[in-house]
Amino acid sequence: MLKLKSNVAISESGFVFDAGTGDSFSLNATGLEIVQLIQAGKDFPEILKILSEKYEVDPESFERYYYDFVATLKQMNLFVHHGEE
Amino acid sequence: MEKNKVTVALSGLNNIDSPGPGIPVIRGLKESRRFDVRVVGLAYENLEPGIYMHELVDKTYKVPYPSDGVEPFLERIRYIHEQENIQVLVPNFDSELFTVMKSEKILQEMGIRTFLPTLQQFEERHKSNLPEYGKKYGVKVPFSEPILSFQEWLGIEEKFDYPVVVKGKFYDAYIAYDREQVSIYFNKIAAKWGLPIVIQQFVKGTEVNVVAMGDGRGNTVGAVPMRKTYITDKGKAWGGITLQDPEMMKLTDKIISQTRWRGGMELELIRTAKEELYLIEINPRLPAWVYLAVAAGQNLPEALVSLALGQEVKPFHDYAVGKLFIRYSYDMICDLKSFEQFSTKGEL
Amino acid sequence: MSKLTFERPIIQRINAGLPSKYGMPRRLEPLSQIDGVSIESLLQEFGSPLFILSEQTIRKTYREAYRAFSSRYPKVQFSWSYKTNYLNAVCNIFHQEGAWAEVVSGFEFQKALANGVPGELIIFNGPDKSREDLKMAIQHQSLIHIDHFDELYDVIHLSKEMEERPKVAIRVNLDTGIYPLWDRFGFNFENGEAGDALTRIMSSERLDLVGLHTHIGTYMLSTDAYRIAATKLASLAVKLERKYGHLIQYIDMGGGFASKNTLKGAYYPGTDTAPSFDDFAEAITSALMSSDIKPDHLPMLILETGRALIDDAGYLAGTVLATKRLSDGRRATIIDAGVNLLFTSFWYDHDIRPVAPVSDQSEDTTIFGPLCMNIDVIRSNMMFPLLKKGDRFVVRRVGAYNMTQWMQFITFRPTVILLDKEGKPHVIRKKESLETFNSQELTPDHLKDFDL
Repeated sequence: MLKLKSNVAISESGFVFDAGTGDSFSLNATGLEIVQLIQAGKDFPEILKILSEKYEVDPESFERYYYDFVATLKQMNLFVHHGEE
Repeated sequence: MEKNKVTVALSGLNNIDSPGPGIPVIRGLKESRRFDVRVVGLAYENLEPGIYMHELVDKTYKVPYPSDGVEPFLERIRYIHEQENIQVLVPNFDSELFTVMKSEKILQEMGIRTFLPTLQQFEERHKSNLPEYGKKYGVKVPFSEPILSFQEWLGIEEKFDYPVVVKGKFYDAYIAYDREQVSIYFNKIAAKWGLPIVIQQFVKGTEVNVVAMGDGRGNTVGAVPMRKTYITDKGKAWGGITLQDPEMMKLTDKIISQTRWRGGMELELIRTAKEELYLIEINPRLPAWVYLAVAAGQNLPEALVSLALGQEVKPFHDYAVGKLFIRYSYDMICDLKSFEQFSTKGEL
Repeated sequence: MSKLTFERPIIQRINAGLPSKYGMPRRLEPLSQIDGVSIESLLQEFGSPLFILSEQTIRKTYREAYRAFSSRYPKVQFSWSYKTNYLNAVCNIFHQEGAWAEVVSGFEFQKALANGVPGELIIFNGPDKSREDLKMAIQHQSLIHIDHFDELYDVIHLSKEMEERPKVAIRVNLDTGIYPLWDRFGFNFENGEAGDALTRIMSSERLDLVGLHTHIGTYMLSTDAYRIAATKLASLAVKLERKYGHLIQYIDMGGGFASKNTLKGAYYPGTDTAPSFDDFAEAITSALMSSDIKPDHLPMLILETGRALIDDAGYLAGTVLATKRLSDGRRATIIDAGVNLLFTSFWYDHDIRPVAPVSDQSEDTTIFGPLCMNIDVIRSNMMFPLLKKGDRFVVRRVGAYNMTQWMQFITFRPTVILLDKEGKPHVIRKKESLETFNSQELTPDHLKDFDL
């Protein structure tokens, strides 16, 4: 299960600040929504359901975008590694 | 005297260890006795200190790089103009000048005034054209050649003696003592500023500079000569002092009158042991140390805005000799909120 | 309730250190139509990738160039540079507009003849003219631009053998203050070689010296170099008149005008820096008009510009094959057109656009072609929206050289279509097929069979 690091702060404007590294990032609106859902403990099927009710997007494309996005977040070191925390 | 309100947009807010001219120009404008200036900053990067210096800069907007082209630049200026009603635009980076010159007419139609050199003045003083410039105007210049590849250097190497100065199109200059260093600096500068790279014969002597302004009709509006008293490892002035030097003034007047220079300029000169003055470079804008001229009695930034607005400016003749500037750095404390706002919204 | 448009989720690191190359992120406008015709529908009809040429743009550009020169100079003639794009349909548009043909090989010469260009309106340039080529040119009374002394002696020899009076000009190379100096073509001006060649031609009395030609370089951004070149050629013409009382009929200033493409390594985009036809025309014509040539003896001015006349009219549209992430996290987009079709991507940072609006977000992306070769890079880094497999792209300003320098490698060269003035597409070169290649090959009998 994906979990954001506890010292990562996300503002309503999509500004992400990692207090552990001092790095900052910006999310677009969809990115912010997904991150907030991940923070709320939702998994992929739930997120897919919520977003495809709201947006014009087919499940196949969404899945690709979602996993690409999550891979980017991982690359930016924003998730807790397994066994930490 | 009642001051006229004027809105000036300007760039060069990177007041860092090798500073842009923005903040010093603003200081001059803020001290103006003619104008009450609202300063609109134009910034490229989220960390340009000027963005956060609210006592000097009223509002800052992020702008696209000149390398993106005229269209994106104008599109952004149009937006800023709608919010701010810019009256005068002062580009403070060499790399912006071409783009702003190309847009001069359109800016004028929008009601935005500038006071810039002409495209011809701008082009002929390029580093790669310096030898021809020297011949045309009878000014001593060091031997130099533009190159497009390091291979080319091998072909012309024997025309030079080491050390040589390796220079970028807009910025950066390094002294190279051997072939390997030329290669390193060539790649370093080319990656950042493109081609050509100019190789200039190193002239031994003292570096002296003049900040000056031409009215575009051949008259010198003001000029202050200075010697850098100490230079940082990046070749920038750490401190400097105004000089009394009729030779430098004569050379400045000669260049301005012959080229009918329009706008601000900085002459970089080397005075050799034989008291000869070599012209190393002409920067087509006010330099970062322009505030020394303001303090010495010539408010050139104010004069620039007046000229842009089409007002008469009485030429400066005097300045205080022996005025000293010492550059210092200062750690400003900023709120992350401000950084967040500028980096996500592009305005602060 | 209707659903909202979905935008791909994206996170970007905020650059807080060294200045990046990109400054403010900028939306890359998609390009979905050419002359009002949908690119998507053309790709569906003619396949992908696809070269698309706009007749409207070709004619408009030509007329703009012609106006720039003819409004400043009494006698102006353009000559279409075949090597830039010798698809017959393209050549014939220029011929319909009034351009002669400028060729640099026997093959191009025959192509021009086959297109119906009268021999005397063909300019034959270049260092590679075989004896047979020269014979053909002499027979057709074409304008032979002599490149070197060996060729000059060949022509003199043929004139005796054929009992003809060949029409010749010499190509002159000269120092215009620009680098590199193209001194490998023609006779040098400064060292007197050009003068010697003219003396040789005049004293042979067997050749008809009709013109002087130069071609100072390629992708020239400086108009001043043309002014200097025109001044020097004019001085040669004046010398000829003074010394022999001989009047030349034309001065051919060649081509080399820059197009609006951006050269690699350039700081500003080509759309900002390329001089206009008016700029080039002003430099050249003012130099000729202010030379010592008597006003009533002003020769015809010939221009052979290719790139600046055709680059804008050409597009290469195609399809995204895949996207991936490189080891450093950068995006890579693989498209179905490689450097074999887009030779010019070795020196240009081509303007590539998505065909359909996809996303306002763009990322630092490398665009690769489909060849199994590491050099197959169309753009090494540009801010580009993330397209997905099957999405379409279009490359702008590819009309010059790509359709002549392209290489057949591992697959076929694609269809080329021309959109006529009404926007109607015409196939002007068919996609190659296995038959195209097999028909050229011969397999010896003992290699025809094998057992596996």
